Parts: sequence; structure tokens; C-alpha cells
Amino acid sequence: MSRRSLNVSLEVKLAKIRELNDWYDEFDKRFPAWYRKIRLRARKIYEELERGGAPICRYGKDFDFTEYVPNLPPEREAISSLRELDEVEQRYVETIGMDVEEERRAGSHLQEDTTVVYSGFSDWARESLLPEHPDGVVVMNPDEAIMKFDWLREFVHRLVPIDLDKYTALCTAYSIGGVFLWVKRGVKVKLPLQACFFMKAERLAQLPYILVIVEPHARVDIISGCVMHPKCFTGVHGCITEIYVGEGAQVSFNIIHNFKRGYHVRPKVGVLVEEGATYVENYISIGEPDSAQLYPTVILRGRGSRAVLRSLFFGRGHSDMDIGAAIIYTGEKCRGQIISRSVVLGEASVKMRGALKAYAPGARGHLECRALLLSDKARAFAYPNLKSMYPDAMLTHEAAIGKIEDEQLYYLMSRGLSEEEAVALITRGFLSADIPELPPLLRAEIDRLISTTAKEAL
Amino acid sequence: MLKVENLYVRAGGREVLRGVWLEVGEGETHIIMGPNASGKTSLAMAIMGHPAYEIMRGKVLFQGTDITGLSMPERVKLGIGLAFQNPPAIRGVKVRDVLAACAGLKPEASREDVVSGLLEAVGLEPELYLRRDLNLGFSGGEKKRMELAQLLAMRPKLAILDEPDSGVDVDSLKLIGSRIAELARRPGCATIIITHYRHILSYVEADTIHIMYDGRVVFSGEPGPVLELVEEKGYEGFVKEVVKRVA
Amino acid sequence: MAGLRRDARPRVDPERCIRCGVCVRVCRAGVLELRSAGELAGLPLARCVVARPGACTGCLRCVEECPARAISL
Repeated sequence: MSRRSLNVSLEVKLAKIRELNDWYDEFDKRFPAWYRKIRLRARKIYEELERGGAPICRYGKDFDFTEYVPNLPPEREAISSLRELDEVEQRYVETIGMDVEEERRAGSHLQEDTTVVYSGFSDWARESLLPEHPDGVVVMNPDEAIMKFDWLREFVHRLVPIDLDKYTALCTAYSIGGVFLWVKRGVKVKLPLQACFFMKAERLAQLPYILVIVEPHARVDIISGCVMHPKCFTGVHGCITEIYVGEGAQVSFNIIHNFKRGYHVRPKVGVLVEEGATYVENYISIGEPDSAQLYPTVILRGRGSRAVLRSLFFGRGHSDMDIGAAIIYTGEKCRGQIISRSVVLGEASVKMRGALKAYAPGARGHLECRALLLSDKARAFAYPNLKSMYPDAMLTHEAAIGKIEDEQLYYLMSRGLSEEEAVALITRGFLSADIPELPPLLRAEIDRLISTTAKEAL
Repeated sequence: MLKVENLYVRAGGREVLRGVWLEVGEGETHIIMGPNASGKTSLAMAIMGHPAYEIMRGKVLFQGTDITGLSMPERVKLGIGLAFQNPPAIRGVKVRDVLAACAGLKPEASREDVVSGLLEAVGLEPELYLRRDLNLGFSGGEKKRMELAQLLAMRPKLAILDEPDSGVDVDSLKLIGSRIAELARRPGCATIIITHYRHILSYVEADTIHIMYDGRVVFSGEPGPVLELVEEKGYEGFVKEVVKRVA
Repeated sequence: MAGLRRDARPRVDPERCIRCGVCVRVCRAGVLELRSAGELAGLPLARCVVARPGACTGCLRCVEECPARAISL
């Protein structure tokens, strides 16, 4: 953590924080007391940590949050359909898996900067799903949901502790917008719901809050993509995401990022899985952010519950990627898998962390971290971690970092492939962790990126 | 079709070929035998243009053109194909995709029917192999069959097979043997088979046999009597005999 | 290693507790218990209670391991 980036004097920072707090005191007046209390507590914690010179997060590159603004005006205009976005914008959201036509989607939620500009169900949902289950799926701005459903106090800001680090404190304190998704008992949403976070304002700290509650035996797939407008040069994106998966339910959460230089990305994800339920998470990053740090933590609480956490990402340019996941077993006979694959080029630095912690008997888990280095200056580090309190746990791990072996390259070239084609084939093979939930648009984007990467590597 | 003139090759920090001369005509089938480390694989790799094998002196001519300076993919395009002795396993790369690449199909258009046919030809059940990672966890015999399938897909004018029969069980040998024979009989083509066993000759009619020893071809001639002599005296004994006769 | 303190007892913040049960599992003295408290939106609610405060040895395991940082001594 370099002190150079924290040049700004403490007084200046505290003055900015005071100004921010004044604004939020006004903004927070709409919320019920219990929620205001949490946010006030978070603001105190944040200010204390800022005074104490704490780094932004325990892992990942440090940066100065006070350089960015979370409550940037102006309010964006609401639109009545994704097709109202201009062509350039449509192309951008497509690169992160958004289906503008909503042909294969149950619904969409689009947030531009701090405003939710569109939130609604697709034709398919309106015709096939909702008639059978009116109110079966609730999608709202979480700010509104908290105002409306008081019982959310049992779920909000618990899975991700507000004082985990400076970043969770400030996200809890200053979040605006996000998604609240509530799927009722037994409702199986067969097409995915898509949420898109689009950053258009310069120096924005986009801090949405995502809360997902899936009742027993329900099923939902979420595609959450984040991208920024090319005319922006710098910003911060990070949301606190809390997901509750009820008994026997199935939830998949696909996070797709395409950020460029000048951006710091810090999503914080906490998940609680009940008996017999399954949670699948896929994190894909195809951009080149200054830094990205992720450490989703899943608690398998119910007996026989299951989690699969995958991350496929590129480390390009000068990116600092610190990507990991943790699975905590407190229920019996649970199964977990963490699969991490990264392709590293340029002068990027990649850290892959994984932890499987078994506090209950019968735990099964596998952890895999692999990095493919495609340039001389690329760096990768893997930190696998296994822990068990019980002798009947079967936890295994596999970590590998390396460049493409000459032997394999030459072998493919002897089949008539050019060096570039061989690199692309091996890279594609390396990244193909078989993700059934991947939207075809994204698959195409990743393929395109692999071909570019192969050229760059040579 | 192929002329190797006074070839000197270095690999892995040492000299592996020390003045090799070889000539293979169109329509011919040649066998190369010799003890381990005699340079058989090095010769195959040098003809193929493998980057790990550096040509220090001499020439390789293919269909009249000097290909000594050409890269491996260029030589493949001209029509030279090699079935490796020890093909590597490549995690994540599927059999289907490699076979499609060999057959010259674009990755997006990998036609499972074409690829399945190739697998069946070498006795591998398509459903069981198409989606597997190439050579990962394959037995010796499976790897050899996969090499042959790829070679069949490439349909090279000059086919070089490096020990296609080692590690293959007796039953499979029949199938592999007949496929190699078909390969060798293609009009306008030539085949070089590197092997340790004369068993292959039950399936393939060879025109010439070459014995390699210590980085050189020490003998080229008709298969029959040579093989008997090698079997009787071993390679070292054979070489001594040749030197004696030549002297 | 934390010394034994006869007067130690854990305090669970009910506003932070996520009812995961890690504390119950790591406690060697059986101090804590998860008691069911009904359901909300189909999801089980539970209260983590200090069932046997006298047994607490002050080892701090529950404090360190709680994923929600809900326990203090």
C-alpha cells in the first residue's frame, strides 16, 4: 500500500467527509430508524478508520476514497425500455452480457450512476411467469424496499459485516440504489434476470446495494454486469451484495465486469445457504481496471447445501487483481467448489485466494487456482487455504502458475496451427471451465478477447 | 519426394544428427530402425521443422524445394505430417477441436460427423473421446491411435510416423496396421515409419529399411535379410558387421 | 493464549448475528446455542443465546471466528 497515493492531508479528507455526511443526513431522512442507525454507525466507523490511516481493504491495492463522489448529481432520466439507449451504449452493455431485446431474459434492471433508470419484467415474464405467480418476483430499488418492508431489518447488512474494512464501512454508509430481489416460495424463474450498472459520470463512486432473498424451493439466475462509459476516465465501483438462499432453492449469480484503466472495483459479497440449497457464482472480468478486489464469502449453513464459486478473469496492462473466495461449512455434509482461472498479460499482477473452512462434519470441497502467464512481466500468486475441525472432511486443493509450455505449443503447431492460433486454442482451453450459465453474447466477447490476447502475447 | 542431405542437428545442448543422408521417392514406404538415442525421432523432428531441433549443416528438400529455412506450420502446409512418439497432454483443449484443426476446419465449424469418422477409423468410440482433453489420462495405445487419427485428418503427402506401434496391444495392432497400410498406399504420397519391431511389416509393404546408429544412417537397403541380421546380432553387432563388410 | 477468566462471557449482538452456527461449533465448552425463532420470508430465524455462561473460559474463539463479527466478550 503506497503512502504516495494518500498524499492529501487528513484535514482535507475530514472536511470532505463532513460535507458528505451532511448531504447523507438529509438523504437518509426517508429511511426507517433502524436503517438510519446502521448507516450512522457505519459513517462513524468509516471516519475513525480514515483518521487512523487504515487501508481501503485488507486485500488489494489501496486508494483514496475521498477522491471520488458517491452522491453525484444529476439524476438520470428514466427510460421505458432498454431499446431507448443509444447504439453505442447498447453495444457497451452487450459486452457484459445484457440482452437489450430481453428475448432470453425474465426482466431487467438498469442503474446509471446513482439512478435506477429502468426496472421491469420482460414480455416472457409478463406472459408466462407472472400470471401463474402474481407478485412471485419482486424487483425494486433497495432504498424503496427498505422503506416499504420493515422486516428486512433481519437481513440487511449482516452477511457482510459493516466493519470488515474501511470499504464495507463506507459502502454501508453511503450506498445509493442497487437491486432488491425477492423470489417467493416455489417460484422458478426459468430465464435470467439481468441487472446492469452503468457508470457515466466522471469520478463517481458507484455504491449500489444488492439484496437477494430467495424463498425455499425457488429458483433464479441473476446476471449482474458493470461497465463504464468510454468518456469517463476514473471512478470506483463496488457494491455490497447479500444473498439469502432458502431451503432447497437454486440461485446462480453471474458477475460480469468490463472496466478500464482508472477504475477501482470492490464488490463485497456475502451468501447464506440453507438446507439442500445450491448457490453458484461466476465472476468474469474482461477489462483492465487499475485494481479489483473480490472475496465472496459463502456460508453453507443448511445440511447438504452446495456452493460452486468460479472466477475467470484477465489481468492486463497494469491491473492489480486480487480475486478470491471463501466457503465456510457450518452445516453437515455440505459440498463446495472454488475454481479460479486467470490469464495474465502485460505487467499485470494477479493474486488468487481461496479458503475452505469446515466447522461441521462431512464436508467435501475442492479448491483450484490456476494462472496462465502470457508475458514476461506478468505476475501471479496463489494462496489456497484449507481448514477443518473434523477428521472426516475431504478438502483438496490444486494451484498452478505457469506459462504455455513450449512442448504443447510446438505440438499444436505441428498440426498446422500458427503460433498465434495455438496460443489462442490453449488459452481458450485454459479458460473453459464449462460455465453453462454464460450468455452467448458474453461467450463471443470472451472469444474475441482471447484472440486479441493471443496476438498481444506474441 | 524427400531428400535429406548431410544433415547435422543439435537439440537439448548436444549433437543428435551427425551427417544424415536419406532419400524417399513418391509412392514409397520406408522404415527406420535403430537403438534408442540413435537419432530417429530427431530426424523426424528435423524434417518437420520443430523449433527445438536446430539444423547446423545440410539441407532438407521436399518435392525439389529447399525447405531447410521454413517454419513448421509452413512445412505442414506444404504437406508434411508427423505422428509424435510422445505426444503431450493439453488440458482444456478438446480432442474434437484438435482433430478439426488437423482437418483444416475452422474452430467454429468443427463438424462432429467428420471428426467422429476419424476416431472410428482408429477404433476409438467418438462419444467417449470427442469432449475429452487431448491425451489427458490416455493410455499409451490411446495416444498412438489419437496421433494416427490426427495424421489421417491432415492427409499429408509425406507422412512420418514415430513408433506408431509401441505400447499398442496385439488386438489393436491389426486395426492400426491396416490404417497405416492404407495411408502408405495413397497415390502420390510417401510414408516413413519409425519402429522397433518388424511386426509392422506384416501389414505394410516397405520398400527400404534404414538403420540408424549414433546420429547417422548406417545402412539402407531391402528389408528381409537386414532384419534377420539385426535380430541375430543386435544393433551394435549389426553395425560392427556393416563396418567390417564395408572396410 | 488467552488466560482463563472466571467472569468471562460472550455477548452476541442480535442485530449482527446471521445465525450461521460457527460459534456453537467452535466453542469447546458448549456455552452458546442456536435456538429456532420461527421463520421470515421462508428463511429460518434463530437466536444465538448464551446458554451456559458459567462454562466460558474466555478463549475468544467465538469472537475471532464469527463471520459477522457479532460477538464480543
